Amino acid sequence: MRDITFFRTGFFLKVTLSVLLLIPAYSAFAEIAVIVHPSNGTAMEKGVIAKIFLGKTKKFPGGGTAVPMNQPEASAERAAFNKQALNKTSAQLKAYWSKLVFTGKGTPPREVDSGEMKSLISANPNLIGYIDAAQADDSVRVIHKY
Amino acid sequence: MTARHTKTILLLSLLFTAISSYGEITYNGFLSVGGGQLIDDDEITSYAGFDGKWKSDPDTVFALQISAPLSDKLKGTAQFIAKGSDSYNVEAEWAYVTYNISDQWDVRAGRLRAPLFSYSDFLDVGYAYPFIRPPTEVYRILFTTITGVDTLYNTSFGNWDANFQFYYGRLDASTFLAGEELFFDLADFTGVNAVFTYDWLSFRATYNLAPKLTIPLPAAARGLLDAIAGSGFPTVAEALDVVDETGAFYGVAMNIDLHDWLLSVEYTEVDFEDQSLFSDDEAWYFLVGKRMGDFTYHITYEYRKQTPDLGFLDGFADDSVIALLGGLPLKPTVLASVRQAENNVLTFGVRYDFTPGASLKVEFADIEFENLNQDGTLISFSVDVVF
Repeated sequence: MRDITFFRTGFFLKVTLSVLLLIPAYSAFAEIAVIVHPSNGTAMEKGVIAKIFLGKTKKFPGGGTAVPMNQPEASAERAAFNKQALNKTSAQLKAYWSKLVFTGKGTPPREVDSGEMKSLISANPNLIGYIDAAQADDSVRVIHKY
Repeated sequence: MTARHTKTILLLSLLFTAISSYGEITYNGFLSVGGGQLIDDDEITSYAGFDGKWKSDPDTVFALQISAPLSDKLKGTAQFIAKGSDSYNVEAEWAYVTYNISDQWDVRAGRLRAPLFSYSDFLDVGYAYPFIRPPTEVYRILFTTITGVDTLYNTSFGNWDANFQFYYGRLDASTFLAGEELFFDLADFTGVNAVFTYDWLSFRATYNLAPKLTIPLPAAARGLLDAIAGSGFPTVAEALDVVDETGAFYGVAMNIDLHDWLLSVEYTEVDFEDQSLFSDDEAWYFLVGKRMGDFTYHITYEYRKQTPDLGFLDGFADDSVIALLGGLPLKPTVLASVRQAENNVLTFGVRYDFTPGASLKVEFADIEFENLNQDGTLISFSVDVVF
């Protein structure tokens, strides 16, 4: 047992070290910021964000209507968000939504590109989306980073 | 496509386009192109629509769904589907309006699917499940489209999401049996369905009741029952016939989707109030799957058993004969006409998600009819797409 733990720790350190070394090269894509309108003050856990993006809840914890928006299918941000916030591959999500769409039980989030996403969200307190963290500014409020 | 269908589709499309000044009309669709063959067909000669020659029709479907907001609370949806198993006739299997009472409540009215099985809602959407087709032995009730209303309610308890569905309607459908078109008409068809989901785990239970169930019989079977009744065994004929009976269907299911592992179990049972040609029937399956990158491997085992209660024959002597059929012995004739089955199917399959929205599946299924001592092997593939 101790050997395994020891090995794992060593392995973990190595991985962390390699990841740290790689970060400068990938940081432009690595961090995703979940954003809402600046007036939207709700604190949100990761679980709630996932529920909103999976259509399981249509409200912010504070009570307002929550309308999620996705980046385009092929974007790096979408892939990173799917994996980190929803813990699913794009194929899994596609299958998930096909179960809801063809029974009228749900509609996947609307797709907009990253520039449009920021400007739409800065103008509408009901929207929630995500962008590359480096692009976040005062026009939106960052509620979570992955 | 018949003229009547073309007209319906045109009308519905026009209707949606005309009234939907309210918002965006969305179009979604799915298609599956399949193919398969029984490779050792000397015992089992046909299964799931396939036979000893390569065939594409049984698993091939094309569907287009149009959905249009009619007001901020009302939405119209129609799904047109053409199935190879139905000669590619275009049918509107779903056509309904949804009234959104609140974020938690929806009421729908129109043509809907009775949620008998876990996969009933998206039965034809191959992309939505790991296998090529839902397990044949379990998904044995072919008519589940009703005209009626249902209500969907969703809520959550802590980390659990709960969905409840209640429906009421009428099922009418037709099928070909022994070369004859038979019409089913089930009034007051009703049921409830509850699904509880916690992230990677979900449970489902359903109970459905058809209180005025009449099963139409082809002429040959009708003739047999008449002869039995006319030869002095009216109680036997009555027991075999399904007229205004209560039929119940219930099912429980569990689904696990944890990291790269999948597990699905579903148990279902059909019960008739009285003995009939279509005796009580239970079926279940389990699936174990493992995702490896874009590949998902699965093993699925299905089992079905029909165990007729033959108590209605007890009062008659073993040498009773059906006089009107030239003295056929009563008991063996009845036994041969009552459906009895003990079937199992073991399937190995792989699904390859080669691009988001499209997958390729290949399966080998080993089929065994235990009571008849017959075996068969079905190989099949499908390409499933959603758009």
